[in-house]
Amino acid sequence: MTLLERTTNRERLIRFSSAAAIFVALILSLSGCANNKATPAEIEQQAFDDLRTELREVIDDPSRAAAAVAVVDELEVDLADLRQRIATRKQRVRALNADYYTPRAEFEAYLNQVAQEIRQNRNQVSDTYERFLAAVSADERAAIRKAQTQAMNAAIQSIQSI
Amino acid sequence: MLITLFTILLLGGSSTTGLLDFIGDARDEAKVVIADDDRRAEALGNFKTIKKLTESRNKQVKNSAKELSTVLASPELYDADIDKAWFVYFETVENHNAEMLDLRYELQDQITGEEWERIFPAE
Repeated sequence: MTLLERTTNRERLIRFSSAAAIFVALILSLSGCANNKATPAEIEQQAFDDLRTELREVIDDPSRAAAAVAVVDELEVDLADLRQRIATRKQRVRALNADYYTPRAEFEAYLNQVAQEIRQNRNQVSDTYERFLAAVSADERAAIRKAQTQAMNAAIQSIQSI
Repeated sequence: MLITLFTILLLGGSSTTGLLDFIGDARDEAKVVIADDDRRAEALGNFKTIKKLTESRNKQVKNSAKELSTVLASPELYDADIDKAWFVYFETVENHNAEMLDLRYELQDQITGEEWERIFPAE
C-alpha cells in the first residue's frame, strides 16, 4: 500500500468515525428529548390511564368495573385540586414568614384553617374509599396492587413529593 | 398506587415536608447576612435545631403514613383503625407546627428586620 493510499484510508476512517459519532450523538439527543418530553402531569395522566385499564381487566363485572373507574376519575380530580391547594398554602405561609412583623396569632389562625380543611376533606376521602371497597373485592385489590407500571411508580414518587 | 393516593388525600398532602420546614433552608443566607458574631452564632444554633426537628418530624410522619397505608390495605378495614392512624398523624403535625413557630419567633428575636428581609425575601 502506497503512502497516498494509506492517507486516503485514514481520512476515510476519520470521516466514518466522525459520521458515526454524530449519528450516535443524534440518537442519544433524540432519546433524551423523548424522555424530557414527559412532564410529571403527563406521567400522572399515564398512570391513571394504566390504573383504569387494569381495573377493567381485573374486574369481570362491568357495572362494578365502571363504579371503580368512576372512583379513579374522582381521585384524579381530587389530586389535581390538592396539588393546587398545597401550592397556595405554601405560598401563603412563605408570605406570612417574609413579613418580619407577622403576629404569631395570624400564623396560628392560618395553620388552623389548613388543618380544618384537611379534617373536612378526610370525611369525603373516607366515603370515596368506602365506595371503592364496595366495588372491588379483596382479591381484585390484591391483583391491582401487583400490577404496578413504570408510569405508576413515577407518578407515586411525584405525588409523594407534593 | 390507589392506597398511596388515598393515604396522601387522607393526610392532606405531602408525607415528607411540613409547611414551615422551608425556614430551616435559609441557614446559609443567615450565615452571610448576620454581621454580629454573637447573634449569628445564636441564630445558626436555632437553624440547626429547626433542621433536626424537621428530620425527626419527617420520620414520625413517614411512620404514620405507612401505618395508614397498612390499615387501608388490610382485608378487614375498620373505621376506628383509620381514625387512630389519622389522629396520630394530626397530633404530630400540630405539635410540630407549634414547635416550629416557637423557633421562628426565637429567630425573630435574634435577627433584625433588615436582615430578615434579606434572609427571607418576599416572593
